[in-house]
Amino acid sequence: MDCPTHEEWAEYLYGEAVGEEQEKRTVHLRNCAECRSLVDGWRETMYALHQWESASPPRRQAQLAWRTALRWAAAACLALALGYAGAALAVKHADSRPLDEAAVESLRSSLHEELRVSLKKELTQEMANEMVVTMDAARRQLYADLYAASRRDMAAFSTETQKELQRWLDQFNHEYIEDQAQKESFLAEWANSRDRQYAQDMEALQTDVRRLANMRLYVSQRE
Amino acid sequence: MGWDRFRASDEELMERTRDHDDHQAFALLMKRWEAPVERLCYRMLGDAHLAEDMRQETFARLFASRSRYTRRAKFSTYIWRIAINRCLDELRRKRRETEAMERMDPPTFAAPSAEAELIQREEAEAVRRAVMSLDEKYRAVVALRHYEGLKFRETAEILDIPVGTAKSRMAEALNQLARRLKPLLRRR
Repeated sequence: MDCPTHEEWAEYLYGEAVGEEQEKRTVHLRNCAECRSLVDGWRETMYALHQWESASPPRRQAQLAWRTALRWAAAACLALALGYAGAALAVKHADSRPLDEAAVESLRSSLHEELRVSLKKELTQEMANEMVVTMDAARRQLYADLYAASRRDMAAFSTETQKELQRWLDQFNHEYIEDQAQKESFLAEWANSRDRQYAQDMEALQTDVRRLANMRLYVSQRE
Repeated sequence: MGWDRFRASDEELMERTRDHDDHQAFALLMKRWEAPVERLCYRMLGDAHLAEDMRQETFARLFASRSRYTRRAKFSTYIWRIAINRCLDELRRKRRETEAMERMDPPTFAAPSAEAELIQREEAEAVRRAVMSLDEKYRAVVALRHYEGLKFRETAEILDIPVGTAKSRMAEALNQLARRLKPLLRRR
């Protein structure tokens, strides 16, 4: 059986065997006890290596804690500046320029600037947060005030409207009554005038009938 | 729109540092890379304080050699290479010191103290010791490939070796570690 080389198994265990190769080696592992023993041992070793993976240099966490701001910033600047000064003295490589004081100073000032920006950002964020809280409280108060005011206004408006409506109704009723009286008066007058006209017409008709009857009597007597 | 360093790539920040001595760009690079670099140094040296020193030296070296930076390789490869070389230099220096000490005094094998015994029982310490016992060329591959999760190709590029060599070194490192960690693995 053609077993993969150790390099190929290393590649396989770190997931860098491409495409079919990964699958081929998996199949090979099932059928080859020798390779399986090797790979299982390496797997356990890789797993054991993780035991040290969680262990981190003690300073790492502190370096990431930017929020401790000023106290840490001052200490870190000092430590870094001293460190770089030390490093400058320690750098002895033939083709590298030693890091002079100006470079150390510039690094320190750049760190100051970085920390200043970081602190400013945090303060700005805090101020923004505070402003949001204040604005929120103000907005709530404003809404409450507006609501209370609107209720009062609505109540006042409502009362006023009712009064106005009542006044309008009174006026309307008053006008209606007056109008009704006028209408009745007009109708009564119209009825009277019609009765009078009717009586006059009847009288005129009776006169005409009597005249006609007298004329017929006269004619018959002459005949 | 002006220069937005917070969105700039590592390569752009390094070019700003090189071309304009932009200290803010360099400070940002430090912020991005100081933890990974220190972590790598810790894996290589096994000593937190020494790792911190090496991190500082790595950035000092990076700043000092800024004029020589070119974009031929990724910035990550560039800084990893500086850090690894600094660690290897340091290990060589320590070895010379140890050899000099050994020439002066015969080696003594003191029994480990009770405290050391306790530390040795911790698995992490056992692993640290096993890794530290590896030859540097193997340790560098373990630090970059296993602990930093770089590909074999990147590891090889940083160490300036063929990819096949990076893989064979990893295989050999696993063989040696498996032997050294056997007592620990048996306990599981």
